Amino acid sequence: MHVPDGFIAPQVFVPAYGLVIGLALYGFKRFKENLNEKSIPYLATLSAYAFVLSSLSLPLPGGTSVHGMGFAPLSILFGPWTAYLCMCLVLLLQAVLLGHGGITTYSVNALAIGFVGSFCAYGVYSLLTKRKYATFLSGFISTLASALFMSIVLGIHPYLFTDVDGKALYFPYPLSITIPLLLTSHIPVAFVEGLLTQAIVSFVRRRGLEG
Amino acid sequence: MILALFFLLVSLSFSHELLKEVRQEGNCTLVRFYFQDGSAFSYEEYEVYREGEKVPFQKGRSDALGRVVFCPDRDGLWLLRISSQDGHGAELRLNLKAGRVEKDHRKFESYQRVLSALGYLLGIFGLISLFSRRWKK
Repeated sequence: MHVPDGFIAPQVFVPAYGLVIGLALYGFKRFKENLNEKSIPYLATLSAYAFVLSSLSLPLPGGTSVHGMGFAPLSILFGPWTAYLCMCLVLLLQAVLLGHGGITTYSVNALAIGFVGSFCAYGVYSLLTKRKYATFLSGFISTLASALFMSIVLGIHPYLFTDVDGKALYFPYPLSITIPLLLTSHIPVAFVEGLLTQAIVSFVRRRGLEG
Repeated sequence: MILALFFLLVSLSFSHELLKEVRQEGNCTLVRFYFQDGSAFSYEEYEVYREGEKVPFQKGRSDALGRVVFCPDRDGLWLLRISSQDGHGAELRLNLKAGRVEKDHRKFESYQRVLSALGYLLGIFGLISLFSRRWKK
């Protein structure tokens, strides 16, 4: 899901940068206010988990692959703003040091994975908190929401940004292709993400380490 | 045991990163796109542009082995853009006058890079830990 450079129009990634930075500044303020010093090692560990998970691939037929993201345990245990900040950091390191996702497209990747994913995970968990499978569904649904957001951002490009001949200037595939493709390919990922979220959250809570 | 598990994870971890290998074959340029696990970026759409031009010099799909071959008619900067429908892809600028042969990251470099990135990540949280007391005051 890390979109590389050249696929997103400047008209999209520049305002997205403004949004990402603004949200990060607000999120950092919330993070400082609610900071529990004891939770920092667990934040670091779960961020490292998100880093590794979002680098792990599940090969798919046709030479492509999908990967998990790992924001749901962070979001459930430490809140969506903290999860968003951690994912922004993870994605920045992946873009700068590993070449996973572009530098220009970092803002869109951060919004899709960091913001939409974290807040959806928290929202689903809050809505279903009394239900048995709230944690699993939080990981499952938020992964699909993140993929859906990215598929929409990519898929609107051929409609919005074309040259005089109608040829797409950036990402060339329309919504009718991106939405079904990204959603179906992320269903197995979302399932695994849900299971891992359930396992990690219950493990952390059993030890009373919640932030 | 933990170390073995870690390296197993790391060895898997870069398999979705799109890598490239550039070679000169006579008067033509061959670019092979592949994932770290060796699987080819096959049958994906690409376009090749001369520097500053908006009409593609060549377009098509990569072959079964993830290769794109084009025969440039002049030296200079060339742009190769390749993408799959799910957002994977690359935008590659090639200086064909130099005619250099490039190969992307070797596996060992990937280990180094993931270790570095994890080190930075943990270091940043270490700094947060140091500053957290000041923030709380």
